[in-house]
Formats: sequence, C-alpha cells, structure tokens
Amino acid sequence: MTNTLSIIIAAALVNNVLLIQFLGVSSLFYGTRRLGSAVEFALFNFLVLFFCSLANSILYRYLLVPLHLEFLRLLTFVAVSALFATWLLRQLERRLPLSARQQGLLIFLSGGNSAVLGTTLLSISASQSIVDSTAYSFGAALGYSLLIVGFAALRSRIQSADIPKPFQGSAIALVTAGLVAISLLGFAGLT
Amino acid sequence: MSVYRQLATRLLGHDSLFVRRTFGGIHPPAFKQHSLRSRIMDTPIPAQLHIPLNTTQRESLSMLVAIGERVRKYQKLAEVSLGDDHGTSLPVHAPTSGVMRALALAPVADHESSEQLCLTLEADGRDEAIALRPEANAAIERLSGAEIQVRIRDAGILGMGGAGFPTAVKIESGNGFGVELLIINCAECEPYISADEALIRERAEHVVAGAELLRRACSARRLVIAIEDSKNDAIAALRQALESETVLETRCELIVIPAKYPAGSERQLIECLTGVEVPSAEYPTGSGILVQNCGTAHASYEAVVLGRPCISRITTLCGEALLTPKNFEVLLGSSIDFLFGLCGLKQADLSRSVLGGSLMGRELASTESVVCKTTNCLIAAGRGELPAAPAEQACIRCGFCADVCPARLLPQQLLAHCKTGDSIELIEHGLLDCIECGACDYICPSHIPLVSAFKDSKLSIDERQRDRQRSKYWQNRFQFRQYRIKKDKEQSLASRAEARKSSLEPIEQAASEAAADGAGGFSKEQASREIAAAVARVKARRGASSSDKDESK
Amino acid sequence: MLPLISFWPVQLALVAVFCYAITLFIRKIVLVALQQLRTQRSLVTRINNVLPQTQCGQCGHPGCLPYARAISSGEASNKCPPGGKETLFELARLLNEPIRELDPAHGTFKAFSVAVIREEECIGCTKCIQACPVDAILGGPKRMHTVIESECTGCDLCVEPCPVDCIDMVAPTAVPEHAILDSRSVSVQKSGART
Repeated sequence: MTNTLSIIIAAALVNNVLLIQFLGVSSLFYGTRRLGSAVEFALFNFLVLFFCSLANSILYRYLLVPLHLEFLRLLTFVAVSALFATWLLRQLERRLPLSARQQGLLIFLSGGNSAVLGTTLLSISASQSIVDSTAYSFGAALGYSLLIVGFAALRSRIQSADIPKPFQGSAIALVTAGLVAISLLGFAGLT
Repeated sequence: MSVYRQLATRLLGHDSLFVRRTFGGIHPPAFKQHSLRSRIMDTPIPAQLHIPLNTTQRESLSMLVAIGERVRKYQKLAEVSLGDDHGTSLPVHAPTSGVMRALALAPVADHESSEQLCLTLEADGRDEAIALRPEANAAIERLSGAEIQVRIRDAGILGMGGAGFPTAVKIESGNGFGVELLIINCAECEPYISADEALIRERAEHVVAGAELLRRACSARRLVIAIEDSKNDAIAALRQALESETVLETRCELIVIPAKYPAGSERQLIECLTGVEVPSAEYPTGSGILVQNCGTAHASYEAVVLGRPCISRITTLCGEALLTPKNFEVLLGSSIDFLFGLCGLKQADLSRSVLGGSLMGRELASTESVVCKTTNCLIAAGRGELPAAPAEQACIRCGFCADVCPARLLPQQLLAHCKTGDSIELIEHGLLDCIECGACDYICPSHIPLVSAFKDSKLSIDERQRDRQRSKYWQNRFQFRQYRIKKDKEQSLASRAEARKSSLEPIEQAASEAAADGAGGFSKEQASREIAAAVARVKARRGASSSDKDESK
Repeated sequence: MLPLISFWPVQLALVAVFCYAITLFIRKIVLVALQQLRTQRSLVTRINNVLPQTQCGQCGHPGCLPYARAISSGEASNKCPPGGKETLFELARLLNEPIRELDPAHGTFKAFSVAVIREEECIGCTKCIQACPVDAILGGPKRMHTVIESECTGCDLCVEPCPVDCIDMVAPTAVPEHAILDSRSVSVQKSGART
C-alpha cells in the first residue's frame, strides 16, 4: 500500500511525464488555450494515458513476454494506443459535439503522443508487478492531466495581462512552461 | 465559513447579532474635526430658492400651485410621480414663504443627476408657515404602522444617506418580504462628512424616537442603531437618550462598530452586524433586514410627531477654502454659492467644489447648483487639498487592492478584463458586486483609476445587454419578414389558381351545357347530319337562284 | 517522506483524498454531459443567439443563421464586424476556442449607423424595400420611401440596390430607450481627491 501510494505520487509529481521528462509537450501548448476545452482535453488524455498504458503493460507482461516477442512491443503499443484513442474520440464526438470541433488535432495529440508511448515503456521497465505498473500509469496520467489544467488556468490569466509585443503568443507560453517546470523540481525531495 | 454563518443566523434568528470583523477596508484620515467644532446652525433665508423636484420630465409632475402664486412655509407645492407601476408619488413642500417664480431645469448637487427641474421660490423673508398638526404622545402610541407610513410619505421623506430612495416605498417593499431587523445607520465612514454625527450628538432623542417610529412602520422585531467607535460624543448622546425617558418607548440597542471605510455601506454594515451577505442582485429586505439613515429617522420623527414635512437637511460644509467650516441646517434649494458665502469662502484659494466625501464624491461643475434632500456634504477644496492624481502607471501586481476590497473582489483581475472588454469574465469575477467605494483607488501605488474603469465597464455591460435585446428584436422582425414573404407567395399562388379557375369556367360551362342538350357532347352522327342539312340548304339556295337565272334569260 | 506514508492513517487519508478528487472529476463529467444532453437548444441556435442579427452578409453568408450553421460545421468565428468585440469573445467562449482578432478581409469594427434616404432624389422604385431584411423602409411603388430609424439595423443592404444612390449611412439620432446616466462626471478620486 505504501509502495503503491509512493509510486503514484512519484509518477505524478516527482517524475512528472510532462514537464520533468518532457514527453508530449506539444499538447501542453495546443490544448491549453481555453480553460474549458483544456479540462475536456485533460480528461481525454487521462483516459487515454491510463487505459492505454494499463492495457499495454498487461499485453506486454502476459502476451509478449511469455512468447518471447518483446521486440514487437513498440508496434503493439502504438497500434493499441491509436485504436483506443480513436475509439474514445468517436464516443466523444457523439456525446459532446462542441468538443468534436477540435477532433482534427485531438487524435494526433492523444494517440500519437509521445507521452502515451513513453508512459507505457517507463511503466513496464519501472516495475515487475502488475499492481505497480497500474499505479505508475495512474500516477503518470494524473500528473499529466493536472498539469494541463493548471497550465490552461495560467494561460487564461496571461491572456488578459499586458504582455510586450515580442513576447505575445508562443514566447510567453514557453517562458511560463519553463517556470512551471522549475517549480515542479521542488518535488524532487519526495522519494 | 460565511455560508454556515448565514445558516446559523437564519436558524437562530437575528439574536445572533454581534460585531464581526469585515474584510478589507481602509483607514483614511477623517478630516471631520473642523466642521464638528461648532453646533449645527440654521441658515438665514436666502433671497431665492430653486427647490429640486427630483425629475427632469414635466409629465411626472402634478403642480398644486401656480407660477406667481404666494405660498407659505410647509405648503405642498407639487407631487412628483416616480414612474413605477404603483403610481407612487412624492410631495415637495415650500421651505419658506414667498412667491413662486418659475419652473425650469437647474443644476442640482445630487450624486446621480446634474440637472433637475426646480421650482424657483422668491422668498419674502417673512417665513410665514401654515399651521402644523403635531401629534400628542398618546395619539402616537396608537398610530399603526400603516398610518406612520402614510405620514412619512406625505412629508416627502427619502433616504438621506445619499441614495435618495423614497422611504415610504422602501418600507412598503419591506412589508412585502417581512422585515425582522431594522438597522439605523449612523456609521458615517467617509472622510469630511460629519452631518450625521452632528445630528446625533445634538438631537439623539429625536433620532431614537424616529427610529422607533420607523420600526413600527415596517413592523420589525428588532431595532439596532449602529455607530462607529470614533464618534465618542455621538455615542455618549445616544446612550443617554436610550437610558433616559424619551418621547416614545423604545426597545433599541446601540452597537458600536470599528471605524473603517466603508463600514457605513449598507451591505457591509449588514455583514458586519449579522454576517448575512446580501447578493448584489437582491435587496436586503429579501433577507428580512432594512437599513435606514439616521437623518431619515430624524426626519420621520419630525414628520410624525411634529407634523413637519421635509424642507431642510443637515449638510456639512468643509474644506480649506472656507474660513469657518461647519454643519448647517440647510433649506432645500439653497444655492451652494450662498452656503459657501455663509462660511466665508476664500475665492482665491478655491480649487474645486466637491459634493460628498473625498472618496466617493463628485466634482461639481458650478457653484450655482442647489442643495437637494441627498446633499450630505460640500467640500470647498483649497489649493493642494484634493489634488489631481499623478499619472497612471503600470500595475505592479502588489495585490493591495484585493486586500482592501470590502466586497472581496479582485480589482487587479477586474482591471485586466476591463481593458480587454470581456463582459462575461467581468461578471464572473463579480464586477456587479462592486460598490464603487474607491478603497482600491485609494490604496493603489500606481495611481490607477480603478473605479472609473469599473464604472465604464458596468455601462458597457449594460450596453451589451441592450444590444442583445435589440438583436432579438431584429431577429423577430427578420423572421416575420420571411413569414410575410412566404405568405404573400402562397397567397399569390392561390389567387392565380383562383383566377385560372374562374377564366376556365365559361368554357367549361358551355361544354357542360352542350353535353346536357345533345346525346353526350360531340358526336359524329350529329355532325354529319348537321353538315348534310347545311349542304342541303346551300343546294336549295343555289337551285332557287339558278332557276331564277334561267327564268331571267 | 516514506516513513510518513507508512503510517496507516496517512495512507487512509491520502486514499480518501484521491477517491474524493476522482468522484469530483467524474461528477463534473457526468453533469456536463447531462447538461449537454438535456439542453434543448442546439449548437446552431446558441451560436445564432450570440450573433447580432443584422443579416448584413459581411461574413460572406446570406444572413446570421447561415453563418451560425457554417460556424457549427467548423468555419472560423471571427468574421462578424457588427457584433463587435463582445461577439468575438462570446463565440470563442461558446466554442471553447482561443480568442482571435476580427478577420480584416470581412471588415472592421465601425460605430453603429442607420440608413437615411435623401427624399429629393428618391424615385420610388421599391428596390431598397425589397432589400431590407427587417422591413425598416416604409413606402410603395412610385411613393416616397423613408427609413424608420428605430427599426434600422445598419446592415446597409439597401445602399447597393438604390438606382439613384440616394441612401446614406449616418449616426443615429434617437436616444436609446434606457437612458444613460445624464451625469457621468469625473468622480473625485479619479483626479486623486485622496487625503
């Protein structure tokens, strides 16, 4: 129990997928322009990250390893992630049409995101038991989504601020991301 | 925390009255000592009075006297209708005797409007009054709440604290909701204004008696007088008035609140005493609380007990440009020139004349403006006394403005959204809750004019609302036009069909008639018979003519 | 950190916090979804209600409803000059998109104006009456035409069809119904009446 909790916290904060390991940073800049859409985006990413990572690690442990097919892991992971993300996107389109306006990029950002692949690879290498893998996936997904929402809130504050012309748009977003990444380093003390 | 506090207050009733520390607020220097050095004085009668009628439309007036007529003091001059659904109207009385000269627009020292219709009264100096009908104590005890309300209305009393809402209407709306607590607001928190304090320290018994009358008028269960702790003389006078035998039996409590600006704002006062936060879209009567100014209470006493209508008010005249600042009992319609003259105006030193205090006051365009029922303070600012602000600088994100906002808003964020003009964000950040007290303006180290920006944004939000309504109206017209065109087209098709039908009718009719005569319409045998008959006729004619020709040869 | 977590009440508390956070998350999703399902008005209607209904065609569509339909199918929402900045903000908020500047190809923000017919030049051809989307022009064939100022939306669709070019767009003279404060005088603290 202790171990599980510490894995979750470590995955979410200490080794944050987004700003400490810098995987999937493109969605940080595209998906955080408005707070409302960022929340939906974060939720979508959480589901994709968690379930993909979970499914992939189960597949790896119980299918690929016994059959000595570890070399096929990249192919499997990418295929599973893409399929899952697409399926989830279709569900989203049907139920929440407003969000579907961004469908073009969501599929790319979620399914083809290096974060998904990265989390999976890290979770299978990080631990040996399936519980730990699940915990790691959950923590990583949680950290990723929370950071997307937080960054969107930051950007909505910046939008109404008086920014010098050269810094408007991407420049200030990058600066902010850098500052947030530094602040996340403060968690390094947690085991 | 406040939600639970509110719940507790509702459950326990307003017995849980105690003074709470409210959020925010500033402590500017008061500058009231100069005008409080002397007692309230009566003014001499000015030569001319322009009595404000609180309206700019002649249609809402019903005059009871004519131009050129001689009137006496306390005589009712006109009824001004408020334009609401109930047809309520407020009477206006003559402050002194004289001759009515004119009815015209004149500048008025009011917080809301700069010009109102005014009745010009040329005073004759004799101050003849009509007989008043004071009530005996025993009669007052028997007066019911409704009767008190009628007398208050007939005296033309409105909120003397600055809002100017007719008191009778406020009480009546309170009756609709059921008022449990009446708070008499003696917390004059704004710098420079000392009218209420002067009133209380000299006429505390009358204020208390008036408060009790108001309590009976609105049938409140509990009566509280709230005053700031810096007004020691006034507190002592009130305590004495409450302990001694007063004109009327009162069950009144005195609560002393910490002096802070803006403690005297209605919603802040309610929050301080009861913990109830009244939503900005509602009135306090919805929470069962009614707040009245002490000047209103005093006027109610005079109206009911002395039978005297509202013709004067206490106004503070202060500022460094005046030799002797003091509180005056000013007749309504006196011009500011006259009043400044009474206090010894040093014209050379006068930099601006301000209505109200130094934080929420309004600069007056001219000193020809006249006093109305809500003029609480006039400042003749000397050189350097109320200086122009330094130039606006960039926001340094210090956050002082959020520290002092009594409504717990974030002026920093509100300013950012004011600059972009995003109405929805402004409303979400609570711009409509802003009471425009000016505390954030006062404290800002960059001298940013926050309150002006908020006022402008409120106006643009209103404009946006109107635009939306207008767009809806246009949409309706457009849809009606589409409908009309469609209907026209259908009608023209229908009428064309009708016309075609009617032009085909004679042909059809002939065909049907023919069918009725012959054996079922056109038939070959009939045709050949007719042809044969025609041929025979022609032959016969030819035969006849040829026989004729033969005979002629 | 590790010794703290091995303490079981702390673990319980952390699990409880996580579960609570997740239930809040799920609750928000469910509420949003239910609200969206329950909403009677379609996306097109909601977009249309934000547009200013001048039916002017500056966005490239023949009216506000066609443009609303186009927006809901993915067209850019920054093409409406009569809507002003507020329409840009509200549409961006509605569609969960970043706020964009008005597309300069479709015009610029201008002050509200109304049409006025120069009566000396009017020939009574009724072309402007047919063009007006809200029937704000009064008149008949060979009769004088006049614009009812209070109904005019300022769309200037009537200016083009007029064969004698007698229609001008001018600032409105009518005072809006809800009277603006007649004294917006500078309040003292703006000029620094601070003590």
